[in-house]
Amino acid sequence: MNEPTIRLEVRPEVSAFVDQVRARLSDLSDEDREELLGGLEADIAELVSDGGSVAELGDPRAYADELRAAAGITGCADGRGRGSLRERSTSRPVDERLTSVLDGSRRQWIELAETPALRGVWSFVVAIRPLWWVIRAWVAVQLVDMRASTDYWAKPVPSLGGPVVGTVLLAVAIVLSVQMGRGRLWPRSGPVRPVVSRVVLVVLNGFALLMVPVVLGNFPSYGVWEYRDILGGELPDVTPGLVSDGQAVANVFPYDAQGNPLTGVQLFDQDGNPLNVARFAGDDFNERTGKRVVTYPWLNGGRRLYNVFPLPRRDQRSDFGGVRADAWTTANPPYLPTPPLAVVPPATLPTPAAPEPTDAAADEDRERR
Amino acid sequence: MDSTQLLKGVLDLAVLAVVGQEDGYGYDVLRRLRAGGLDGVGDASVYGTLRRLYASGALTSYVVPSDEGPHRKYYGITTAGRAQLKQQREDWLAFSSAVTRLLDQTQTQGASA
Repeated sequence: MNEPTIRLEVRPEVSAFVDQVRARLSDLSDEDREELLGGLEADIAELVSDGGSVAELGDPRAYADELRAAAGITGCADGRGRGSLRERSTSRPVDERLTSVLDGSRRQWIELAETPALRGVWSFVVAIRPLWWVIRAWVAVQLVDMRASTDYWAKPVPSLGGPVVGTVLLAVAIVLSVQMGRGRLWPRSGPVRPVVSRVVLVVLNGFALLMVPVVLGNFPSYGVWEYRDILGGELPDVTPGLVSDGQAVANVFPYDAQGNPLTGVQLFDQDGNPLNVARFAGDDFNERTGKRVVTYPWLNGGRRLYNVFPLPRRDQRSDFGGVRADAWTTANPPYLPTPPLAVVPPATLPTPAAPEPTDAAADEDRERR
Repeated sequence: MDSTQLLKGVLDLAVLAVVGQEDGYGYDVLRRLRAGGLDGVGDASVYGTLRRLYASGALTSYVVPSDEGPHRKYYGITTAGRAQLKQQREDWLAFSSAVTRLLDQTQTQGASA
């Protein structure tokens, strides 16, 4: 008999094997299962340290069945689930195939991750796993926000109609997600679960991963606070850009003295500063269609000019919020909007009555002397 | 003849005998069975048998914790287990000697024929 003081190294493939045996016994009550599995890890670990290998134990599922049969526990793996016999016979093959696919990929993954080259990276990834739990919760709330909110930019903490709602929902989502990650909440984590839970978790995680770029795409590239300052209307003392009667001007349509619309008119104020329209003042978002209309600047080389009128516009998909550098080369380039009025009445200045231009010049000349 | 089929019937007895000799944990019992000549015995069958004998009250069990790594689960024989061992030993001896006798007879007859 061995010394009671023992020190066994449990190699990852041993844990993985025991996990798979445990998964195969998932239909048993927790008590029965743990009773069956008690000490198994130590036994197999010792087999391995004795020069044996996990591979010689064969298929973990067959091993589990043998264990179960020898222990005389009724209801083998085929009897899992509470459905009728017919349901079981139709659902089982899919069930089992999925389980073996999941187990197989997990085993391969662990083998890969435990190679010397990747071991360090993998342990780092495992260490930052909680970060992913937080990120997926955040992504989920952002997705809800995208559907529910009228704001067309995402915010770091989604508002969902009010500052408290979004914050609370985010906090709840993070708690739920972390608890799932820790295995405290359905669908839990790891292989020791019914196949449905495992598939649900894989699908949800995959979906969250795919949605990360979508959510990030909803953030304005220049920073969300700038946008809020301009259009959020909460703080600004001074509305940036051209203002008329306290309202931000979205676009300007110049006409010449004859009343015909002009294109490409550059406006400057009395000090020579450009009369810019606030960059997003003209942007429009149709909640129903999800279409966004974005104001585009004129260009001077790489510089964007918002004081040249009228400013072009472009219909964009909702997930591309801002001005895109390649917009003009796409099949859907920006266009110059139709002026609100086709023509306007001509404008004139009162003409001075008599003097000929030459005489006036002569007068001026005389005065100067 | 495939000894695993034979083994199934007497695994309880073999395990009881080994544990009755001295307490042991799963792998230890397995090793002792194999050292005793039952090398066809399956790991999981032995572990399962231990669990079943424990559940039926023939064995007791206790955990020996380790500073590091998994705990080891030891099994020892109970009074009920000893009684079962005694009974099964008698059954086995009667049975095996009957079979042996039978084999001896048929072989003698076969040889004399």
